[in-house]
Amino acid sequence: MKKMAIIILLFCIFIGANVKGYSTTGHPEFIEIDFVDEGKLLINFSKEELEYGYQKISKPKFWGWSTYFFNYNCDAHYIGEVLFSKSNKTATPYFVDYVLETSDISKTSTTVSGAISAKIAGAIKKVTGNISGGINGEKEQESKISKTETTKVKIEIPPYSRVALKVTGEAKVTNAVSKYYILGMTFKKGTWETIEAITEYYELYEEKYR
Amino acid sequence: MKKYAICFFLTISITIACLILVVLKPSPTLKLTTVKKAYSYVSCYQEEERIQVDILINDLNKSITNKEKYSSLSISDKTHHNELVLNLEKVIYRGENVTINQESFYQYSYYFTVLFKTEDKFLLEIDDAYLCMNYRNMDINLAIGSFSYYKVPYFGDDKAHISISKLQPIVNDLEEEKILVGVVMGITNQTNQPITIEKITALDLNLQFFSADFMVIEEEVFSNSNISTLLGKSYSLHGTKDNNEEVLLVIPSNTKVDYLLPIKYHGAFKTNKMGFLIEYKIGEEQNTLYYDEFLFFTTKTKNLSIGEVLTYEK
Repeated sequence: MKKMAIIILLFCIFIGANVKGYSTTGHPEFIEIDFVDEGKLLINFSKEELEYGYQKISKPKFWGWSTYFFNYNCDAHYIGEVLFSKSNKTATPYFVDYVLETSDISKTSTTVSGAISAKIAGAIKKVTGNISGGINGEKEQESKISKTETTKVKIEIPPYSRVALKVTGEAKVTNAVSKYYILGMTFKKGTWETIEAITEYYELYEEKYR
Repeated sequence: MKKYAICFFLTISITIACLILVVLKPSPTLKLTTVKKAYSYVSCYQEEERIQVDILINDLNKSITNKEKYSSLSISDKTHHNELVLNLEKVIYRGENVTINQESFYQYSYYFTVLFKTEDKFLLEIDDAYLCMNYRNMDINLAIGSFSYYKVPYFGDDKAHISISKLQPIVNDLEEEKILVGVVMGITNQTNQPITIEKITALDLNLQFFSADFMVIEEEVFSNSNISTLLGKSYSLHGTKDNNEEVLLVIPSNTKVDYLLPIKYHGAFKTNKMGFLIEYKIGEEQNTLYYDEFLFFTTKTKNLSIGEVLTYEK
């Protein structure tokens, strides 16, 4: 009986570790992505469309990465997470202190599939060459000042209301399929996608219960 | 032969040691600067306020983060006629560096507390504010931008007649940067009588809500909507300060109205964060709603205006 319990526990842990929250964009931080012009998220690609991308990089390379970009730094609008939400089901208003820590270092969400790691996807994206051809995976060295700021705000929750703070903004979307060749043979392959939030707009809104 | 070898080895060692000393020798001068910006804060009479100032310093010396090395801290104008005493809470090394005039500067965040408390309304507005401090017997006066500091009696509406039901920024690309050009503000009248909004004041010395162009918004708008398109006419970012600017917006009983409040800048700095107050009338009774500073947006800044680099002999 004890053994059975341990097995069930281990099974739950194993299953639990692999469960990911469902997201319509494939990125939990972004609830909705709308491209400014044309564009498509990986989650909406068919098998045939992905296969088309792999075929574009099927010409063997002696060594290194070969990548086909479906979208590269495409402008998009996003609706992000609800950062804060409080309800007041009483007849008396009250205040909450909300602390928001922000940074102008852009938030990037990367998803990968196949044998590509998120780290490699990040390196591939920072290409210094032509996009569909030879890719140099060197990471860009940036010398910049980052602004990290803490803002404390008192937010009133009126009677019989829910007040929430959500984030929306502008982002750059890049998605692709990549193959890694060693001596002309495919060693790794997979799809990857990054969404880089450029701007964050904070919107406060109230909903009445009655 | 052995003697020559020892002499040669010693000469080489001494030369290398000297070179290391020259390379690692700390700079004889302390240089510091900051990115100037609009600082604006609102707090209640008896509440403390926390202020963060990021400073770039050409030094990694541990004593920079030692708060015991600092004294005589304040925010002041150039003449020191208006001064707000600060208490240093902590200094944090951000672990990032930037090159200015071919010299490495390291980023430090200074966190201060304003201990000032009052029993009455108080405001301190400084167009050209300085962070003044004494660090290891060096009197530092660093220009940080503008400083707006307001003490208010309470937050919200103490009579609970009105509440803020929506806050949304309108941000446009102007003058090669993202600028807060307007705010969508939802105001709810929670009473059974109509309420007249008489004045909406932004609590930052650089800008003003431009009441002549206030308009009701009936549909959802995006935060990056073009302000001229929303207004239906050409928008100008800059304007002159008008201290008597009044509005007369009537909100019917138990109704929520969303207004577009365009912003005009008359100061040197743009802002992404501010509080505000709303003066209104219900019947013959006048009252005010005070709102804490609200962060409207953040972005990756393209053009940072680094201030003058101050140099001190150590």
